[in-house]
Formats: sequence, C-alpha cells, structure tokens
Amino acid sequence: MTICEQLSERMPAVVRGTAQWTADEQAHLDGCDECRAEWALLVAAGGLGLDVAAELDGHHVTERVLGRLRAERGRVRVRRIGWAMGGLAAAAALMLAVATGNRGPHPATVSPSVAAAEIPLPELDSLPTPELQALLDALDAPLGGAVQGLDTGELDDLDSHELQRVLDGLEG
Amino acid sequence: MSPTPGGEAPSDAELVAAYRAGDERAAAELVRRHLGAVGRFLYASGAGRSDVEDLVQETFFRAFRKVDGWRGDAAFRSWLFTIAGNLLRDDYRKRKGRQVISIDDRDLPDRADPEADLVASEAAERVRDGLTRLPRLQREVFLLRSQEGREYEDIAAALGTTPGAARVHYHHAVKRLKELVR
Repeated sequence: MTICEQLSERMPAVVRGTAQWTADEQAHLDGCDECRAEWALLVAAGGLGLDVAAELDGHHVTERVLGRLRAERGRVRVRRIGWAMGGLAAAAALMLAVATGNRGPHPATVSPSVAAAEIPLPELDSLPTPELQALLDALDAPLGGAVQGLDTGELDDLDSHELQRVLDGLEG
Repeated sequence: MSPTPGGEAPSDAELVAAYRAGDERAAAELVRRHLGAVGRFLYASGAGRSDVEDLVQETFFRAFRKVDGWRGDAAFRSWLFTIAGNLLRDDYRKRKGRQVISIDDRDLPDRADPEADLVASEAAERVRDGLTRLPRLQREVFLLRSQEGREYEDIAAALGTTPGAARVHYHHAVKRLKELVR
C-alpha cells in the first residue's frame, strides 16, 4: 500500500475526529497535491448538511411517524375485522342456502301427529280439561279396550245356540 | 426504553426488538438517534433543504413499517440510508428528473468569518452538486464512508454488494468528485 492509499483509507476517520495523522502522514499530506485535494473533498463532504440536520425537529418527526404507524395499524385492524365479518356473512348465507335447499322443490313430509295438530277442531276447545283427558286416554288405549260396557268373560260360558240368540238380540 | 442494567444505552438492535414488542418509546429513541444523520445523507444526496424533514419522516415511517426486513447484518443507520436512497430515487422520478436543489439552499448562514464560510460553503455546494452527478451506488458508498466512517464490510452489507466492490466504488467516487470539484 502506498502512502497515498494509506492516507486515503484513514481520511474518513481523521475527518470525523476518531483518528489523527501521524507526523509522517501529515508531512506527506502537506506535500502531495492529490492527497490534499482528496482531503479537501472529505472535509467539505464531512460538513455537508450539518446545518440542515440541526434544523430538524426530532419531536415533530417522531410524533408524525408514530401517528402514521398507529393510523396504519388501525386501518389494518379494521380491514381484518371487515374480512372476518364478510367471512361470517358468507358462511351464514351458505348455511341458509343449504337449509333452504334441503326443503327444496320436494313436497314436505309431515308426520301424522303434526298433521293432526294442524287440523282445527273448534268443538274440542269447549270441553273441560277432565273430558279432554278422557278423550285423549281413549285415543291412546289399545283397540280391544275401546269396547265399553261389555263383559266378554260371560260369553265364554255360552254354547253356540245361546251365542246366536245373543247376537240376534243385539241386532234387533 | 430505559438503559440496560449496566447503565449503557440500549443498542439499536435492542431498540428494534423493543419496538417490535410494541414499545413506541424505542421507536422515538431510534428516531432521535439517527434523525440528523439521515437528514444529512438526504441533503448531501440532493434533496432540497425544505424537503428534508418530510423525507426523513417518510424514511423512518417506511423503516418501522418493514422493520422485520432489518436482519442486523448491516448497521441500522446504514440500512436507514438505503431506505432514504430508495425514497430519494422515487421522489426524483416523481419530479421527472428535475433538479431538486431549492433556491434557499444557496443562502449563506450569518457567521463570524463570512469569507471563510463563503469558501467552505462554496466548496460544500460543489461537492454536493458533484454527488448528485455520481451513480447512486458510488454516491451512497462515498457518503457512508465520508460522513459516517463506515467500514467497507458494513457498507457492502447495507447496499447488497461485496466489500471489495464497495472499496472500488469509493475510489471511483473520490476520483470523479475531485474532477468535478476542481
């Protein structure tokens, strides 16, 4: 490395005050036009914009930067909520479409009990509760039990002629 | 963000980690720490004096928005400079390439030795004018080295090149600027 290259390498540090020339380096600098020109260039560049930097309002810049960052975070949050709401709405619409599609164009299959419940029977409305309960019990009872007032046990003892006479009597 | 238990100020990496965890004070400290350097870099790269503050603000906004993109292989400040450089390029394109140096940039400050200041100011302006004529990579390598004293390894990591290439860019920039400033 030549002495000119050595000075060139060290110039930024010397300009910034973090290093100093040795006596030999200073002597070379004093006598070398190329090194002096480079030194003048570095000195000028080192001082460039110092007054501009001193005029900057750090507090103002910080507040504006942080304000913009907060605003952007807010916008991102709103956008995310919007996407989430949109997703939920789409999911709800899909579920509704599926539910509606199940009923679809086919005739509804309604159970007999539901059908019976839908038939209006205004005469039942006037019945007192015990009578309604008796009616419901009768409907729920086995068919054999629905024949009231006839003791079928006595008929077991009759022969066929006697049975015929009972039947003839019932038919009048 | 308070100092570390040893009393030292937290590193940039620690501040970035704190900001990622939701601590806005860490972001404020990072702005305070690097504001001036970013402003100087933008001004030296050709931004108008009146535009520097807006550009600095935009640089930090973009940096915090994509802070996960800083992996720590380059210094945080060097990474900020690459964002500022991209921003300036976008701004330059938006203005369709017209010169962005404003008239007030030529105003001279009132100091005790106006003649010496005039010479220094004229030299600085010639350097600044020369910098705007350099290719972007040469300009950024030169500023990272001359204003920030960065080593070529750090410059290379920040700008996505090799240390050897960064060294070559620096020497090309110096040679070209010497010609432009004379």
